[in-house]
Amino acid sequence: MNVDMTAPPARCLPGTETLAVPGSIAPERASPGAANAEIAELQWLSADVIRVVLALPAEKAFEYQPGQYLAIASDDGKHRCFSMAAPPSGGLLELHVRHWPRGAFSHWLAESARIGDRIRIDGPYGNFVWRSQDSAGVILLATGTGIAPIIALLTGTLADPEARAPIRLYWGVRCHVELYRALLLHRWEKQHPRFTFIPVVSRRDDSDSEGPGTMRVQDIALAEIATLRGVDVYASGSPDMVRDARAKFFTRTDFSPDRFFSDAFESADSAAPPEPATQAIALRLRDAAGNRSVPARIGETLLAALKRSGVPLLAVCGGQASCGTCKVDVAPAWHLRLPLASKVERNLLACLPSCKADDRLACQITLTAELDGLEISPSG
Amino acid sequence: MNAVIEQSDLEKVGSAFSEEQMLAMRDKTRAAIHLIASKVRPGMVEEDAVAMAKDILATQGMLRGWHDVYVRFGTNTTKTFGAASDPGIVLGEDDIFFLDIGPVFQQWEGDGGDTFLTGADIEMARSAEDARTLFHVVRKKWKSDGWSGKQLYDFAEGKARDMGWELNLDLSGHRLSDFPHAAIYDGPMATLGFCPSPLLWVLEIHLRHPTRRFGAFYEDMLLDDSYFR
Repeated sequence: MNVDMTAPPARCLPGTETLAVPGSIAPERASPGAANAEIAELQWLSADVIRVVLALPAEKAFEYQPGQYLAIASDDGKHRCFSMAAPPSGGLLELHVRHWPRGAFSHWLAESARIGDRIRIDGPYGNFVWRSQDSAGVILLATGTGIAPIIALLTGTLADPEARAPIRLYWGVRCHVELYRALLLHRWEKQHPRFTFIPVVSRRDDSDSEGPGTMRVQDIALAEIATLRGVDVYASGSPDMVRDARAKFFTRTDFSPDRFFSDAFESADSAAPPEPATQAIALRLRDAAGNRSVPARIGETLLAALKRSGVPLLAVCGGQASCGTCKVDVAPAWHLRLPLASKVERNLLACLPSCKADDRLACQITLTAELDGLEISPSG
Repeated sequence: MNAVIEQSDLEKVGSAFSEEQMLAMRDKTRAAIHLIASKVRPGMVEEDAVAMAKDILATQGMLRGWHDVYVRFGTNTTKTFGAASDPGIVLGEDDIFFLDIGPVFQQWEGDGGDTFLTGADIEMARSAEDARTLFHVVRKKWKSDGWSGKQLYDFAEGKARDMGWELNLDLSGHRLSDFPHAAIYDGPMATLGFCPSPLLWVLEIHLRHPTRRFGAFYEDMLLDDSYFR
């Protein structure tokens, strides 16, 4: 492995635009060096977010400021970056890792990692730290697991008896079940009157896609705050949200750009090199809107490809071959080219109302090169 | 723009909703839980127990479910909803297991869970009993004090701690309805700022031992005392 450890790893997106913050300071590194940490806890916080607690050797100090992140070195030579989700605490580091379907590291974590496994870490890195000791107010914007450094920041400032600034946290998720730290945040609201938590769920109706009027944390915050004079903004999560929030806050004449702090990140594995063209295939979808081509990737399920393209399949059970709501009608010419249905799938299809011979469960079909051109339609 | 969640929004039901059918589905679900449990034996591998459970549900027209069939043995009883079981766990002679099923029968959803023992481990037995007890303590608070979902789970967490357990707050209640409730609201009860209405919500209690690797689970609909023997 040949890794330049003189500079902090890019925030998991090599080659991506650097979000330069006017007046930002150089990344802080309180305690340099690598360490071998041991997995002490693994816990699912939601259907696709894992809480990982790493324990450091007693002799290894790892001092960091809430809001900073560490880098995990993997066998494939990549570094994956995750924010600490809590302030320093007795040699334990808490991370929130989203399980990506094709993420090598997160998939290992979800499927194979065990308590006691060792992980090589380095850091801390980043300058997304608390700077609001004297501000008039604080706005926190988070999407998805971007809540992790925000919680670390909040833990620190809410414990400060001298801190007075009102804080409003807007946490954006796709659906309510992703608010995996809502209980903690509501508890803090009760304990700290100056803290307000506003969950923002982007999918209001029963469709699977974001329609017109989809709520964005930055838009809601800007609509609710009368003045931004002396207000600090911290944005953590998707690069799109961070860019959009920065652009919009900067248009406000009562906002000082040097009061905008950001931490943009997504799954490190989504920063993998673009797949070779041979890895992509196209499906032929026939639905009420007509016939259209749907891009798909070899190795993903038919369900994942259809949902990514906005096809409204409920998939209530999350792809566990339990609910049947991802049932699709496969064109007869393709039926024999699909892998055989498992006993689990066959049994479930048999008990579904109005199931036809050509129906299959989209969650049980893994796409291969041979399925390029697969013709399907949502099953009624 | 208003991010406040309205009770009426979250407690909508579909066109097929019927109190009678939801209660009938509850009875079928609980009967299935006990039937499946009666056939679990020490020496079984968890995966085989899951397959057996699905076969039983299939015979009753309840193979379809709004969530997967969970039969958790031994250390897998610490796993939360959606987490994969460690494979190959064999049920011991002095062991614990729980069931969590969410079957769909025709147009109606059921959901239920309970914990069972194969031996006489005192702490395991206490965990199973305490999961049921805590469920009813919280349920009675819901009935007598009209607490919100948040208040109920805050209370449950403290009570569990007093009993010597850790409450898994990632299993913190949910809607139930004519299938699928997920199209109405798929979030937890524990974030609600209002008192959940009867028949529409499921109260979940998942306890974990603070040091040993096992847990206990109980869940049922939020209903008044007359629906429980």
